[in-house]
Amino acid sequence: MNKKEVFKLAKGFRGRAKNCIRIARERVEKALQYSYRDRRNKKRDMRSLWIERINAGTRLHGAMRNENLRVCKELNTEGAPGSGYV
Amino acid sequence: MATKRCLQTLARQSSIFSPNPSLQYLHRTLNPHLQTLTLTLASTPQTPKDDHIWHSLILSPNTHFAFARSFSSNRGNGTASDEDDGVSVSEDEDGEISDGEEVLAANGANRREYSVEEKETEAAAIGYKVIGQLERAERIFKDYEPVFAVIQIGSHQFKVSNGDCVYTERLKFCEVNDKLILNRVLMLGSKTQTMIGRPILPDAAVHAVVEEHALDAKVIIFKKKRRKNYRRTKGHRQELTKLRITDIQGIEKPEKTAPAKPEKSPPGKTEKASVKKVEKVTVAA
Repeated sequence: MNKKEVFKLAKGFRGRAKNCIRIARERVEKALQYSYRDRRNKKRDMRSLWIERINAGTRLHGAMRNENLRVCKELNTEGAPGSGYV
Repeated sequence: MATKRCLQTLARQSSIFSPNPSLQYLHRTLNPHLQTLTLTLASTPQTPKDDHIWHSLILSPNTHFAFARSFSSNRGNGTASDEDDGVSVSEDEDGEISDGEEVLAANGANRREYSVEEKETEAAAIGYKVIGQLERAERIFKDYEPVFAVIQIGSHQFKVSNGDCVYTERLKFCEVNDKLILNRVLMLGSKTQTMIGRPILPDAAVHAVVEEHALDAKVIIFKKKRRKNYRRTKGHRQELTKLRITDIQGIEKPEKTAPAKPEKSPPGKTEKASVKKVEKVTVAA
């Protein structure tokens, strides 16, 4: 039954959204929509996090991230893979 | 169309009778493929691959013989390989099977494109791995060594060390308990040395074993447009392969002194180890 699936997905929700089907269904649909969108956002967020870290790491050594990237296949930062561009 | 169906059933039965289980598996997956082939033939007989199929199907007696020939050779090899229980070479099996399938699904879709053994290894190289051998009762799991490697598989890169588990996209052409050699190594490192590849290190190799072919957890794809009466639900499980990294080659590994008996190990050994820690960064030319 769809109701059973909805309540299974509504575990941990706040208030009546985990108990009452009308409210739960709305919240679950919203949650699934968010998860669809955020599966794409997660890739962007991770990449931005990596860029932050690489920038910080290269600045420790005196260079900046964009300078570093210009040196095409000779990256000398801590633990960055040689052929990936980030 | 009746001739086509006859051929299909013949092929199906002849392959099912063969004792080789992998042949059966291949043919089970081949059946829907054959149906799609016939569908495409019915609709658009214009593309060159369809012409080839028409060719092969029109000369029905010849194709009968071709099927019989190919499958008899497969069956012979199948029984031979089944007899050697422990040490069955998967490469030969796959090569023979794909020789048979080449006749059936000429230039078809993605699944049966590995027509020859060589093409198999080529495609494996595209995925940056080389199939080693199957393994039986070999102890290959070593203790942890403080050496890491950065590997690329497909389009994903991983930093791995000895004994790590890595989940990658489903790797074709390899089954459970296959040894792989991942030859696209971007970086090697240890306590005293790091080697950076431009872009890959030529002499490095990382050994891995395929632990399982699994499906990912289910992801629900849900789309909704509000007030427009549009709502779609779909489930999806991605196919993964779990690899276990067993060995990293291409870099000097630091020698391990016995840590279990600190009192009995002579102090000379630890002194030598500390002297060797000189920072060396080498860039592969």
